[in-house]
Amino acid sequence: MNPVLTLDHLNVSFATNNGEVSAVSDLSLSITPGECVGIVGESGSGKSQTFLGAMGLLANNGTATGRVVFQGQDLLTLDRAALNKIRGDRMAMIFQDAGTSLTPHMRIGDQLIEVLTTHKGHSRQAARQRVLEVMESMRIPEIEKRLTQYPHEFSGGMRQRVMIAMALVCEPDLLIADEPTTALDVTVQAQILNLFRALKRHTKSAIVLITHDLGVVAGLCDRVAVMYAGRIVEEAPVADIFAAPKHPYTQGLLKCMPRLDQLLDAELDAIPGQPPNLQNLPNGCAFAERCVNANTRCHNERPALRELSSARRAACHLLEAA
Amino acid sequence: MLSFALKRLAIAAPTLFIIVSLSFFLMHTAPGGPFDAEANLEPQIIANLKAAYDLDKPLFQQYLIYLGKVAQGEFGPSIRYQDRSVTQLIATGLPVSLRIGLSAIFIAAMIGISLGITAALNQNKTTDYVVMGVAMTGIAVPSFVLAPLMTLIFGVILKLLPIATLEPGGSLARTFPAIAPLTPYILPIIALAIPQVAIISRLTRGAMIEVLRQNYIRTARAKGLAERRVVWRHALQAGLLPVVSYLGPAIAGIVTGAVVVETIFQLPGMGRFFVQGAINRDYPLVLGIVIIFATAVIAMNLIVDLLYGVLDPKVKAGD
Repeated sequence: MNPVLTLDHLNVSFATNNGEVSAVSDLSLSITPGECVGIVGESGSGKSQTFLGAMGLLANNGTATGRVVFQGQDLLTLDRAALNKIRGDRMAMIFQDAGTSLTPHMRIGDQLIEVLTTHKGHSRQAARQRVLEVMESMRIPEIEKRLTQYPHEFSGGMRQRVMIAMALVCEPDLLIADEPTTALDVTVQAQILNLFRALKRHTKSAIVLITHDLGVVAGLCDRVAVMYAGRIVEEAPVADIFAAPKHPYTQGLLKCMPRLDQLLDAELDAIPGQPPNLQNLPNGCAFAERCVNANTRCHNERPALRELSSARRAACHLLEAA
Repeated sequence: MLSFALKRLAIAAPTLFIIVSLSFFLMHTAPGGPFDAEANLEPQIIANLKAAYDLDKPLFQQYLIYLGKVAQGEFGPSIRYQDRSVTQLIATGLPVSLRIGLSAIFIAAMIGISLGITAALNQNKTTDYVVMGVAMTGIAVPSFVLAPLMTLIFGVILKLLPIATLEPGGSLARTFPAIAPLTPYILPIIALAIPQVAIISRLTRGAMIEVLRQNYIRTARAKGLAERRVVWRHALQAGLLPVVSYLGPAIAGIVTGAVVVETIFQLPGMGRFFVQGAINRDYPLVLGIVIIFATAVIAMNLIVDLLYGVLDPKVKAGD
């Protein structure tokens, strides 16, 4: 099956007063129709910037190079008008903080309806009908009344549902969710995750789930890519990542997760040290500084992302030796 | 909304009272009096004149008499402009000031907001630098330099427009008779508008740059909306808030006190009466204009607050 999205040697960098900062380096990844891919990594690992770059939503000082092929078209070569035909329609994005990601001075209904009137040429009446349908499937109560309200009249969880509804009204082929549950209470998180689960069952959309929460990935995703310092360090089917993580960073991440079957006073194994400064990345493996098994080769030579088996890739010299 | 407006009007009355009282005493504290310039008059005549205007009574009594008149909606007779009441003077001055002031602020808002948006959308590019450079010049050049310069160029040298009169004139009026009645107002309006264009464009630019960085603008772009819609529908309303709060007091100020411009162009507006009144210690005239000015500021601020409720749904008027 042809992938819905292929990132091909994607680089994202930002021009700052202190020189160029590279947020994403040489990243390649494919997403096939209908699958759910988790992108995991800590803050600053470049997971959000990868997809903001792909959608042409970088801040003014950011540039994306490489190729972003969406259904056969390289998005990075498209002009603004051509890109606008795709984003919001066939490719939609959900943002982390729904509180600041909805226009405060527009009624919720208008913000949802404009997506359909823009992309599908619907009349306002037809668009409203479709919006009501989607909001209903998002389990938003009293939808008729809700349409005329402003974002500040919604709770955090309801705002996130609106964000998701907004991304879904055009039935996109690819849905990118950037930390959709991070800013929410735990109970609300569970409700939103249930929505995603239902979404996975009932739509044909491929879903990219950007998160730092491995628990979210375990429950939802088919495949996981782990990012560190702007690169993918490991990519595998979700069961394999949890059963047998290959990259030392992935292993470290899993050890950091609190487990119910451990003693309450048992200390979590935090990964020692800090992620590297993106302005001044080391020549070797970016994780070497924090890796207990690192050798001189790790410090001097950057490991390539190599195929371990048909579905698994990892970037680590230690795996080669083993 | 209605109860909010009523509440504000109720506060307006004591505010006006305090302003009138303060101005009354400040005005009378200023050294000199209305008849000091008349050096040759007999002391008896001066005493009679003072009695005619109640100026011989103790200050506090004068104050009470004045308050009584104001309460009845009367500003009393002008001391300097004989046989004319302050109300009559204001009735001749206010229309002139309103006409040039409102036109100037309207034109300035239209141009200033458009320039500000253009600069914000081209932040740190050539367009931005050019617009802001021109705006800085507009702020830096005072109207007492700008106005005579424009008079010199368009009135004296090019003879396009009439100078210092409300009579139509100049070659522009002869070429286009249809707009002849407007010609006396063109230069004063431009002179008033230029500094306002500069201020408004800078305010708009700053606010729009801030708004365009917001997450919800990124959402609007992610939805594939045309840039035009992102700017007009999603950004502008929030970007205009500082401009609206500036425009309120600015309109009140420009309408009641375009002092320099009215003086240079010899227009019989409020600003000129104000300055003349202050120089001549024409107490009733100055106080009358102060009351009009204060009322205008209070009214404009009320309108701004009500508009805020419209522009920003989070601000519910009345809370």
